[in-house]
Order: sequence, then C-alpha cells, then structure tokens
Amino acid sequence: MTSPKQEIPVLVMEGISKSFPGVQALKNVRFDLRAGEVHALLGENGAGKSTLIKILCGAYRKDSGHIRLEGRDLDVNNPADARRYGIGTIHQELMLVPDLSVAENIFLGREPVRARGRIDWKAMHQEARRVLEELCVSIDSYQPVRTLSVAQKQLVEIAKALSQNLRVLVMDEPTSALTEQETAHLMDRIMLLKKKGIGILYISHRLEEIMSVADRATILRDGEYIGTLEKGEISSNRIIEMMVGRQDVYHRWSGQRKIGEPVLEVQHLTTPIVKDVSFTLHKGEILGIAGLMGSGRTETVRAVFGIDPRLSGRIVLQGREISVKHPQKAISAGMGFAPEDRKDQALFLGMSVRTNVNIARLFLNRWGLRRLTEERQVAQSYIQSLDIRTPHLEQETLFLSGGNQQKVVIARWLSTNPQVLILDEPTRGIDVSAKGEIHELMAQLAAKGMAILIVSSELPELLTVCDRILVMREGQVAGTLMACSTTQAEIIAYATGQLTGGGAGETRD
Amino acid sequence: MRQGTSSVRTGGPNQSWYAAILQKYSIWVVLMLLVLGMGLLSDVFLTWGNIFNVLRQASIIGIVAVGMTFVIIGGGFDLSVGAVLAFSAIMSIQMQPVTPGRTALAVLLPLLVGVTTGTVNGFLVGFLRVNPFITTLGTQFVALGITLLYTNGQHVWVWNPDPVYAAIGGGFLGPVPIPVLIFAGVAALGHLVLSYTNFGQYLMATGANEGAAVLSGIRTLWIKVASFIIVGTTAALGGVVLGSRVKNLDPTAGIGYEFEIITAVVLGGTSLSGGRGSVLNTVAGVLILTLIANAMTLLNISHHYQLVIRGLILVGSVALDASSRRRTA
Amino acid sequence: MSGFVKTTRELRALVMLLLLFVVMAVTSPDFLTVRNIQNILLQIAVNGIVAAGMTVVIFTGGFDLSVGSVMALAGVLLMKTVSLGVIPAILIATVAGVLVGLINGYLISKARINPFIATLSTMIIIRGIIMGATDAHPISVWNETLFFLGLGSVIGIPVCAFFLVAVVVILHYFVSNYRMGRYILVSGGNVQAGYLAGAPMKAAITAAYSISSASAALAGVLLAARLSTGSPVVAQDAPLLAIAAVVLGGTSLAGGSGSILKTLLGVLILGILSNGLNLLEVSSYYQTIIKGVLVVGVVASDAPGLAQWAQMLRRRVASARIQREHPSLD
Repeated sequence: MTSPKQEIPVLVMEGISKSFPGVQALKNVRFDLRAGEVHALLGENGAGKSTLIKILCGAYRKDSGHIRLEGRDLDVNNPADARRYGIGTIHQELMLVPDLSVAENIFLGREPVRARGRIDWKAMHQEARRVLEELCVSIDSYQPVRTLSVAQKQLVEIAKALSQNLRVLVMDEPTSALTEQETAHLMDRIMLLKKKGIGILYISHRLEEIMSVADRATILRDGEYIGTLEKGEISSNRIIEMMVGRQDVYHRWSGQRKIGEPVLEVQHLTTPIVKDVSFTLHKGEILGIAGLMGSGRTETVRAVFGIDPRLSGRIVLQGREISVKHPQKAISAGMGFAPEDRKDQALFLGMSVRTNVNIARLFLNRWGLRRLTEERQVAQSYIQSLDIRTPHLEQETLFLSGGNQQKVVIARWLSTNPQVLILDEPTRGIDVSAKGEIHELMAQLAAKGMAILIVSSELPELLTVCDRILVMREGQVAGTLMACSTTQAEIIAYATGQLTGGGAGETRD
Repeated sequence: MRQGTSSVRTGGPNQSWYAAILQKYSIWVVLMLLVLGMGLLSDVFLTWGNIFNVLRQASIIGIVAVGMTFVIIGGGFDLSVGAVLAFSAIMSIQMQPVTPGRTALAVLLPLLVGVTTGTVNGFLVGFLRVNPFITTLGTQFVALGITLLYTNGQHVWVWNPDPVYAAIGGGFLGPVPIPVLIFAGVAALGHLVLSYTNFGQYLMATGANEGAAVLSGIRTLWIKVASFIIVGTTAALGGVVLGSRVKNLDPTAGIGYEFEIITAVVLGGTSLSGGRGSVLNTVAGVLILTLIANAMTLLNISHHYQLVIRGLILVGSVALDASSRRRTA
Repeated sequence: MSGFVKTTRELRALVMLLLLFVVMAVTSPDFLTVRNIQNILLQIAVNGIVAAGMTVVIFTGGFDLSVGSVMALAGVLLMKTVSLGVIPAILIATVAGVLVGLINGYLISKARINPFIATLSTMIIIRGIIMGATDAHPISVWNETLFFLGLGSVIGIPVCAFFLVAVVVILHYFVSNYRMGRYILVSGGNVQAGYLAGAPMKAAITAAYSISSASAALAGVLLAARLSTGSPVVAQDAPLLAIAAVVLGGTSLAGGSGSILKTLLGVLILGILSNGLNLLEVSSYYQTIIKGVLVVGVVASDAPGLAQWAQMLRRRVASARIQREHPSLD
C-alpha cells in the first residue's frame, strides 16, 4: 500500500483560517491527502471539521490560506467550482432528488444527451448500471430514489462520485444512519474507491470505524491543527488524548453535590424510535445521556418534554404522573428544555434578547397586559448573572455568538424556575471558554437542587459534569454508569453493543 | 451558513436602540414627506375637511389591514378577506336594518360570519396544515358563491335605514367621521393586543419560528386559528361599515379588496415570512396607499392604472423585504 | 406504506372520473350524446391547456396566479392585432405571455419573492394594464379562421381539443426527456442537490413560469377565438380552476413529482362535473362554491397535518393492541 507514488499528496490545504462573528472557527489549519488513502479528520463538535470541509467543497470562503490540488492553486468559490476540480462531497444530509430515478440522480447535471438535446436514457442507464456493478451494488437504475433505504441512498451518492472521475471525495459522517452490517458494506465500497486512487477525507464520530478504515488521521481541536497520526500510530487512546487535549478544559466538579429524592421518573417510555426506556432523575443530580447518533437520545428527551408523541409509558414528576401532550404541559409542570439546534429550535433570531428570555413566562398585569419593566429587569438580571455579552437588551439574538445565544436559551428556562432542566447538546458549536462557563453554571444549578438531564455526544463533557450516565443504543437503555467510576471506553462499549445490561449506576434507583 | 454572515443588515449588531426605533418606524417618515409634498402641491389638501375625507376613504381597508397584519405576522395569509367583506356588507344590508333591533342583527350576524370563516380558514391552515394561499383562494370562491347565491346575483339595497345603522358608515362625531373612529379604535386595540399582550408575543414567536414557539410552550395551532378569526372578524366589520356607507351593493363588490389590504400591510413592513410587523406601521401603509390613490385620482389616472401602480408597490415592497432578509440570512 | 399511499393517490383521480362518468350517464339522458361530448371537449380545452402549464410550475413547488390575467391579455392582444393576420396575431399574444413568464421567473428565482405574491402582483398589474388600455370594454372582431379555431371541428372533434392534446403531449414529452424539463422537477424536489450538481436551477424555474404563461396565452387565444371577443375581464377564476385540475389529477403541491398526464384526468373530472351540474340545471353560484370546496378538500386531503394525525392515530391503535395482547410488557 505504500508505493512511493502514494506519498505525494494530491490535495494540500495550508494555513486555512476562517472566523465568524464571535468565533474564530479555524486558525491556521493544514491538511493533506494522498491519492488512494483514507485520511480521517477528527475532532469534537465545534473543533472546526465541518468548517474545513465546507471551505474545501465551496460552501464557505476561507479568510486566508491555500488549497492546492496536484500542485496547482485552487480558487474554490462555489460548489460547482469544487466539482469541476474533481472534489466531491457526500454530505451528511444526502443530496438526492427523491422522485427521480437512481440513474438520473447519479448523472444529475451531467446527463448524456443525443442530438437535439434529448436525454439519452439508454446510455444513461447503461452507464449507471456499469457504475453500480463496479460497486457491486444491486439497485435497479430505474428505481426512484424515494423508495430506497438510507444505506442504498448512500451507495447512490458513492456511485455518483465514482462516475465523475473525482480526485478527492469528502465523506461527512457517512455511517451515522447505518446499521453495523450496512456500515461493513460501505467499508468495502470505500476500499474500492481507494483502489481507484481517489483520496478520501473521512469524518466520523465512531473511533472503531476510524481505526479500521483510516490510513492517517488528522486531529483538530478548537479550530487548531493538533497533529496527524500515521496508520501505525492510530489508537483510540491517542486520538482521544489529542481530541480532548488540555485536561484543564474539563475540570471535574470537585465539590460533593447533595443528591436528593427522585424528581423525575420516566417509566417504560416508548415512541416510534424509543423502546421501553426507564430512568429516574434526582434532586440536585446531573444525569447524562450518551449514545451514538440515532440511538434515540434526543428522541427520549423530546418525548419526555412532550414534543414527540408517546406511544406508551409514564412520566412522573415529583410523585405525580403528568400528561405531556404538548411542551406547554411539561413547562407548567416544572420542566425546561434547551434543544439540540439552538438556531432552528430554540431562538427567535429576529427578536430581541429581552423577548427571547421572557417568551416562556411573560409577566402580565391584572389587565392581562405585559409588564415590560419586569421583562427588562428579568432579562437584565440574567445578562448579569450568566454574563451574556450583548450591547443592549433589545439586540436581536441573531447577532450574538453561539455561547451567548445558548446562555439566552438557558436564561429563558431559568426564568421559569424549573425543577428539571433538559439540555440537549448544550455546548455544540461553542468555543472552549463559553463551554467551561456553561459547565460551571450547570454545576451551580445542580448544587442549588435543580435536576438536570443532559444529552451530549462529547463523552469528556459527560464525564466532567454528570453524576450518572445513561448509555443508549438502538432506542434502548444499554447501561447506566456512575460518572466517577466509568471511562470513555466503557461508555463506548455500551453504546456500540460490546457490553450489555446493567451497569453500576442502576443500583442507585 | 447562517452564522457565517457579516452583519451588513441595516442596524447591525452595535446599532443603538434609538436608531433601531427610528428605522422601525421609518415608514411614518415616508408618510410625512408624502403629506408635506401633497400639501405644497395642493391648497385644499391640508384642510381638516380633506384630511378627514382621506381618512374616511382609508378606514375600511384600514380596519381589515389591521386584522391582516395579525395573520401575516403569524406566518399565514388570507386571500378570502375581500369576499368575506363583500358577503358581510351584503348580509348587513339584507337584514334591512330599518329598526334598532334589525340594526343589531345587521351588525352582529355579519360579525358571526366573519368569525366562522376565520375559524374554517384557521382550522384548515393551523390543524390540517394546508397551504394558507390555497386554502383562502378556495374559501374566497366559496364565499363569493355563497354571496351570489344569497343575493341571487342581484343588487341589494336598504331604504331609509335606522339612523344608528346609517351612522356607522356615514355619521360624524363632531368633525370626525364615525368610520375613522372605528378604524382608529381597531388600530389602537390591535396595537395593544399585538405589542402588550402575551397573545401578541406568542403570535410573533409562532410566525418567527414555529418549532421554537412550540418548545417554548406556545399552543401555536390555536394561536394561528385565532389570527385567522381576527382577520375574519375585521373583514366582517369592514363589510358592515361598507354596507352602511353605500346602502346599495353589487354581490361582486368585494373583488380586489384583498390586494389593497395585503399591499397596505406589506408596505407597512410586515414580513411575509412571518414574525415581524407592527399595526402602527400597517396604519401608515394604509394611509400612504390611500394618499397615492387620492393623488392619482386628482391627476386623472384611471382606476385601472391605479391597479397597476398598486401591484408595483406590492411587488416592490416584497422585493425589498426579500433582499434585506437575504443580506442577513 | 408510502407505496400504498402513492397508488391510492394515483387511483383516486381515475376512480373519481369513472364514478362521475357513470353517475352522469345514469342520471342524465343528455350526457352520453355526441353533441354533449363535443361540448365537454370544447369546454375543457381552454382550462386544460392552462392546467397543463400550471402543472409545470407546480413541479417547481410554486404557483402561478397570473394565468387568468395572461389569458385576458392574450385575448385582447389577439383581437387588437388580428388585422395583421391570424398567425402573427397569435404569435404576438404568445410572445407577450412568455414575457410575463420571464418576469415571474425573474421575480421568483432571482429576487426570491414568494411565488404566490410575485404572480399575484403580476396578475393585478397585467389586469390593470389591459383594463386601462381597453377602458374595460371588450373588443369583438369577426374572423373566420379564428372562429374555426375556437368553435370549429375536424372529423367531429373540436379543434380546441386538438390543441389541448398537443400541449399536453408536448409538455409531457419535454418534461420527461429534456434536461431542462428534468431540472424543473429537480428544482421542486431538492433544489440544493441541483445547485450542488451544477444544474441551472434559476433557469429551470424561469423556464417553468414561461411555459405556464405561454400555455395561458394560448388558452386565452382559443377563448377569445371561441367568443370572437377579446375581453379584459375574462378568466378571473382561471388560476383556481387550473390548480384544482392539477391537484385533482394527483400532482403534489410540494413539487418535485407528478405528471401532466395526470392533470388531464383532473381536467376531465372538472369538465364533466361542470357539464353535469349544467345539465342538472344547478345554479352557477353553487358551481362556484363546489369548485372552491373541491380545491380546499382535495388539497386538505394531501395536507401534512391530516397525514400526521392519521399516522398518530394508527400508531396509538397499534400500540394499544400490542399492550392488550402482551400485557406483560407494561
């Protein structure tokens, strides 16, 4: 595999920097890719992986730096440019047109035509069949993409890449929605692409997958280049060490929290995705939910908060069963929920900080009118206590940085004085210092007796802030672990199904 | 993508709050300039008589535009207001309000119709999530058909109406025409509800980001239904005022009202993507449109070409809104 | 499950058409006469051509409300220029229609205005212009060729019907076999995917609106020819009828899928319904109401809300059954 030809990088990115208002997303990052290798790009959420690949595929423009393909400087301004240079991307969200056939999707934008502009269907399907055969895939080229499974759609995307003489293929979390068996199939196809000399930039959260497929791995942290591991050096310990880096970011809450009586009991919760999930959350406790993407973490908390419909199961808050058919019921029962995607699901971007803080609990006078003074006072007090950096109360939240936006969302829930606060990926896309502040805040709230449920993909985060960690796998609880005695490896083992049943944390209940 | 924008939007991150307020109500500056300009061009324009005349002309459109502001802020749209307005006006006249008792019917029954059509539209859009344009395009034709059926396609009129009924559309309180007072009342109430009640805030939130609104505990479906009931009611109220003013109406009279109303709201800066808007600015939009119509009539521009200008204003203000949104998003 | 839903939607139009046909054939002795069938063909031709064009716009996920005004515009232009000869007059009318389509396409794809508002505006503007230019008076011109186009027939089949078939076949062939036609579908199915693949999405959207306007102009020409009159006030309800036909035929308003051939089914349903109501001497006022209810009803039956509620209900029932059958789970 290490012929000299492969040592010459086909793609070089050097000195790439990119900043957004309030965040320096990339600082002088470099990355290179050899022909026919799989080079993994690793880092926690917010480390800058997605920014880097968006620059490469033309969705973002870099502030500075060079991109060179086979020694030539590239100027990638839009996706069409990137494609012309032979850089293809398989986005996490697949870019297929549901009602067109497999062949049409493979050749979208490059349809073979006969004289007078008519599409040459015969040639297109023939060519599509050839590519699909080359991939050892048995999908009918006439089938509409709508009818395919996610894994099959993924393969159509690969066929699309294979059919257009790419030099570089970016794969962003290609396995996030696949089962293990489908993942194995995908890996075979990736080997095939390698053999054709295509350089693959591979992003995944699953370390075991990286270890089996990657030839090299580059690690980013907080927008900076940390290092590149060669095939022999790749091990999960090394990777985690480099990804997490400075241990001082996550200094464990040292004080002993007093964990009180049960506040929230979820019993046999079942939704179309979640299967028979039960857990108990105590006063002053921080309970983490870990699991791979698609394991039902988010769906669990969404059902608890009444967003997704429940099929069965009970939710008991302070000894009383509550009926959460709408988030409004959950809120009035004493819950708060900061969702996964701040901008899409939590914030009213065009509205002021004041309104965003107060929307879940408006102050009304006896004539039913809003007490604006009260609203201002509340917003002002949270701006101070949570250190939200905004020029004034009426600032639209659109203009705040990610960390400050998240604090606005948390302030919204604190103002309702909840007993249970649910945080779904609270620090995604937030810079390190703001992350620390949010962790500190959670610890303080728990110390005051609030019960906190946190969903996170960052295991170090969970290990830092939680008392117990619930690991989910395929919609079910795989295990419950005590944060003080478990390790990342153990959590991953439960999340991937290598370990099953029980766990130390269950004895608590 | 969204976080990667420099803040080129007018009123960027560090704009002071008073500049923001000035920008928010800039449409009033336009209105003032228009009034000044017309005052300079015409001797009679800036007399109380003419001012109240313009306001009276604006009142029917204005009443419904206040309701339309609510629907559009909530992310909806209502094309059926013209037909509902006409139906209410005709029903009001058909009640033959020659006695106080019949006058009460002539006011209340149309309002009931307004509430009903609003509820139907709201149910279709809010609960079944049918596209609001299609829904109200359909209900517009249903309302038109019912109107034609109800009148058998004939003119309706009332002789010697009860003085109270006649006053709704034609009376004065001191120098101020009653329709103007009704318009002012509806606008004041609308502003109060939109800016100072939790309903108003919930409506804005629903229009701005429905998913986030649900997560904040807002019953968005009911909020949407309520916004359609509001516009239905204002359309019916506008119809009653119209009926009382003309006392003699053709069943197809309502066609075209909806464009004027929508144009006024959009001109007032209410965003068609929902979540942003103000009743006060809608009032300014209504007044500007009426003034322009007034000026065009003075300049002898035919009614038909006035339509053209109105269409241009509509598409122009939407394009402006779209481009300002694109710069931020 | 989705396959099942899809087939029911596809079958729905056929079943409705057959039912309507049988009911009419049984209840009205005048229905199944050569004369009446010719009449139906004559009536559906104009709406059918508009609906075929509207289908192309709905493929992009948009709407075209300006079709009624474009029809009136084409009719008026035809009558104003017929002295130059029939073919030049038809060409002028059609070119005017295409121009409107280009404007709509620009407003929607470049200025990114909501298609409903953009075409609502052009609808008012065009209506205003023709009303102003004609002072709201219809223009009547007698021309034998036009009369033949509008009301004549060949081997017993109205000429208009040939036009309808031609438009449907040409548009269907174009959308099925040419790149631009496919891109129109792509722009409604996943515009981001098209953009990333380098397919010209803005051009496709503009093409769709131009096709819609050109079809509307042709329909306006036929209508004016039939009446020997170009009236500035005709076809106010054309967009509603066209959307009704498209939706009845089973093309989804979400865009990205559907077929112009299906729309032909919708056109037939509407035509037979309208003809039947006439034969049964139902007041035209009821017909207006029925059309409105039909549009809302059919769109509502495809609305996401309804599907979601039905799915929730099904799941509730299923899980209740599981619990009943396996009480040990709880």
